[in-house]
Amino acid sequence: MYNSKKAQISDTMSWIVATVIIVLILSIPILLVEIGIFGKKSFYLNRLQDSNDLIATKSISGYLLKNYDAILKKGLENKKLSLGTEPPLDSFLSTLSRDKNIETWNLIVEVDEKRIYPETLLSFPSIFFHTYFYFNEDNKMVTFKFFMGQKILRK
Amino acid sequence: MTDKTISVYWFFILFIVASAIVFLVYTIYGAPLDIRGAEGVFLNEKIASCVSQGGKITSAGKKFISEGESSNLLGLCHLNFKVEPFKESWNNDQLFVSVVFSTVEGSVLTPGLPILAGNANLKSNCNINVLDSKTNQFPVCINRTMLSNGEDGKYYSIQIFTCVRKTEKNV
Repeated sequence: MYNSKKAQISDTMSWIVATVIIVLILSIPILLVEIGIFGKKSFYLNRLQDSNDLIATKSISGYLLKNYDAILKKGLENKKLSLGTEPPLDSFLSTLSRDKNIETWNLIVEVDEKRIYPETLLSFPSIFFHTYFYFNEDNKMVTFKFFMGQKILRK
Repeated sequence: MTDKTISVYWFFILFIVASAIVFLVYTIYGAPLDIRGAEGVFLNEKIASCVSQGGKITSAGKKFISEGESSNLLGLCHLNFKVEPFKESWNNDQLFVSVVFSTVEGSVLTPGLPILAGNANLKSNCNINVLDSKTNQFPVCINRTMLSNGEDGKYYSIQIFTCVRKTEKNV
């Protein structure tokens, strides 16, 4: 009987050994995870949070609603932005940052696509998020472009 | 094709299969996702939308200003702090929110009394994670400030502070 079943026994033995090998292969990554070789998976969540900033956009809406006239009153006449806003523009922009060590906000104001503020563009970290506000003033298109840049990109 | 070539081919296939298995196991059984930061941001944004819309204080926001610290933050913003039954000791005390309305006059801020909801004890342990980022055993807190316009030309700086514990589930 043994001699007549040699092929089947050989086949079965192969599968038994293969099963043991498959189980071993499967257990290796599980053990690695259990030991803690892999770190936390926070990367994708950070990107999700960075992709927009609702609170900054809301805050900018409040700021523009309060200061629109003050900003543009002289700006449109002199082609130069008045900075007598409440609070001052610089301190307002700093309140928008979630982390002041990483994020910097900046503003560009354009009238009919011509920049009236700032007079010269300074170097700025890589732009990560922007929000634009459009107004129509005496048939002129006024655009407030708020940019957020990250000095160090979040991991 | 010689036997040697086939053998190399099989090793290559074995390597691909093993890599796929490692990737899948890591994806499914890997360290838990720490979503407390995202949860804190969402809660923060929900409250921001509750108190300010289109640069103006909402009716709920006006109630917060008039009623002060006695306001029902959860009721007015349609929130509840019931958490998933992950652990018996949780008992719906895993979240905390504080909202402060400050009037802005020039560069001077006059803060009002904070409107609180949730477990206030969480606040004292905030930001310890920064010092000990390896364990992350402490609550994650998000602190944001926004500007909004109230009635009678009043201008407000609104500080929204949210705190999420849920350590056992996320770490």
